[in-house]
Amino acid sequence: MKRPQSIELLPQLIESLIGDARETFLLFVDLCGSAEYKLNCTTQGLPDITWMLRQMIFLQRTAALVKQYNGIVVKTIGDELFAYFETTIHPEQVLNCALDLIHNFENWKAYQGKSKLEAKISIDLGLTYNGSIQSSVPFDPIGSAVDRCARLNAVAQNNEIVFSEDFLAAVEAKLSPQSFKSKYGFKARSRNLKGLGKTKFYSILAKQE
Amino acid sequence: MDHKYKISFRIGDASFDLESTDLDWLENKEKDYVTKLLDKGGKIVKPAERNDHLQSTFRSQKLTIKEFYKNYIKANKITARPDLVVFFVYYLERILKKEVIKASDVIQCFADISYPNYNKLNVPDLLTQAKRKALLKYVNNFWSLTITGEDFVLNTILDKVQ
Repeated sequence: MKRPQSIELLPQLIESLIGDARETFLLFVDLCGSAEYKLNCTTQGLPDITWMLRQMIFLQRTAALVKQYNGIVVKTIGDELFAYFETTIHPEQVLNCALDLIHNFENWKAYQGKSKLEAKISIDLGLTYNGSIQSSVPFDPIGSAVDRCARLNAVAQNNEIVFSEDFLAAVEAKLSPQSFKSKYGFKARSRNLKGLGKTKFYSILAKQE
Repeated sequence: MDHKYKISFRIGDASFDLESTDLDWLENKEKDYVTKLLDKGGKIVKPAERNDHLQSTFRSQKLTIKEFYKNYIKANKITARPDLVVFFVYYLERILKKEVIKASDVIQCFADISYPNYNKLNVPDLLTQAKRKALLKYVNNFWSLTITGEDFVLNTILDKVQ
């Protein structure tokens, strides 16, 4: 994004930064156990391409599925993918995208046992601003909802989807709380999250053995 | 400084972003690109719209499971049982708008179409086979379609329609 460089243009700069804000559904998808997998590859003397392929297949398939659900992939960060959805999309669709993502890697014959592909996912909703610093990314959400979503991802377990109270409120605005609860069977939890204090959130174990 | 205007347009898989301080130029370009997109792809139908169109057709026809089976499953020569259960889950979820789907609901579909020896079928196993193909998902003891499963059903039906 091209921004004015002269100090006289500071008010316009601030206006352009603050003005480019929107409510979005946020999605962090993380590949579980990739650091351990890389270490195993190194220990066993396997070439780097082994873990690279695994990680890239994960990221590419995840990005493709997010796009199928009309999500917008912002970037990948190592073995993690960050995407957002416009709030015109039904929140249940965002949740279904997350569930599909986890089920998508099930029974993947090339990756079984220790190399199994498993994801953990966090979903949030909130006001975000455009923090894009390059023209190839038109909107790169930044804001406290993004921070919280990233923190929630850190507490998620393998094959688990965690989401915030704000996201739950958005779902319950469209679906009755009883039907949502009976359909997905989520559990309430709370945890001290770094920089955010004690935070209540909800989790769904997406894959049942 | 002039205000900067931005337009992001997306239809199906195609998209473009425009940015300028000249609103007239931007509006003209937008019309140009939209026309080009539509000319290139003919009538672009988003998957969601395609789905809505089909579902409204189904609803307006007030399809029963027997009619759905006759017109869209049997007519498309779908005989493999794991595929059949995907169609049944589609019928229950998208046409009947059932909130939650259990294996017993799918067994009932087999019964309703008078499927031979339906009471001897291992439906949970058939559902699991469809899950292995990523056509169905199993969450909180309920079955539902994945987007791949939905595409499978819609593509099969649309192939027949076209």
